[in-house]
Amino acid sequence: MQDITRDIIIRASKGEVDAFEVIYRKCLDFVSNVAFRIVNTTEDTEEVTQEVFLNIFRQLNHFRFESSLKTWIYRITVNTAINYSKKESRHNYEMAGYMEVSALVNTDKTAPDKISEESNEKIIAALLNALTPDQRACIVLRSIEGLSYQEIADTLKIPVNTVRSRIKRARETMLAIRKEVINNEL
Amino acid sequence: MNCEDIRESLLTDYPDGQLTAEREEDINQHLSACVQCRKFSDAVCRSLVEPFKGAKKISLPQDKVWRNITQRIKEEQAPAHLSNPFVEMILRAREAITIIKPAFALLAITVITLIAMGYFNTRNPEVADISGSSESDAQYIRYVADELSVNQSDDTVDYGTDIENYFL
Repeated sequence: MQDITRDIIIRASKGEVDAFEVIYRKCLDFVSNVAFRIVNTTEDTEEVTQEVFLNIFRQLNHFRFESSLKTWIYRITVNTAINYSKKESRHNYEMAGYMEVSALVNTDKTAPDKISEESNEKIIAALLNALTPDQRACIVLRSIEGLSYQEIADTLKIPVNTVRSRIKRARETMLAIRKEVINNEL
Repeated sequence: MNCEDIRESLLTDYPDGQLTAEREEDINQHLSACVQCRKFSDAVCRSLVEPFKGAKKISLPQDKVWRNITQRIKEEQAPAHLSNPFVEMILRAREAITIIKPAFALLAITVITLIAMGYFNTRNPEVADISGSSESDAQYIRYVADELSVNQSDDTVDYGTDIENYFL
């Protein structure tokens, strides 16, 4: 991201596709990963990622250098992915999450201490699936992208306490699912 | 500090490393003394924080996605009438109006003139009544003229001799 100069941003904001390609190449990885975790399906990730970059291209002339470009791109990514999730209504909350985690616990009986990458991916998908898109965005930005609460607040343009309360509710929901599964296993 | 006070922190700021050093030290002291909170904290870290640290990164096909994006950009930058039939229809209608502009102007002038005339007549009803009053005046004049002619003829009636004419 540091390689993206002010000049490149200005040129891209004026519609220069070559300059925009530099931004695209530098940002594709984190944009696609955030989009993937928020929409929570691999099938939709490519479509949402394309939409994110089109939104960036369309709105770049509104970027005022008041925040970092990365924060601004995070915001567009999260908003685009959340809107997509809400529009598509592809998320079945708690019950679906419970069913998926329950299935995972059964497969992990033989090796409870060492969870394979594949199983871990299923656990993550099941936990995220139990959350609302807004909660999911906060968890993704915090637990996967490693943003601080203040950075998440700046990205989503919400107060820090709202970030904290969304993370708290998200973890309470996820914890309830895990407890339910564990209780059923005992 | 009791268990209720730190439960929210154990779900949020504590595992996320968002606390001040002083607050974190307070919680650590509580955890060393409270088995329930320690178990709770361990469960949160193990079940809700650690799995996400091992999340794998996906990798989309860069060139393919870029081709799709540039294709969409080209479509959006193309003239609107090439992609939108509704806009195309409006543009054609505008062109047609441009072609018949002189005829349209003449028609507009005629319509405006007719409207103005109608408006003038409705605004000045006395003008319309003039013709009616002239008609009645003319009748009246004809009547008076007749009367005059009758009277004049009366003046010429002959009653006989001069003396008779004098007394009668």
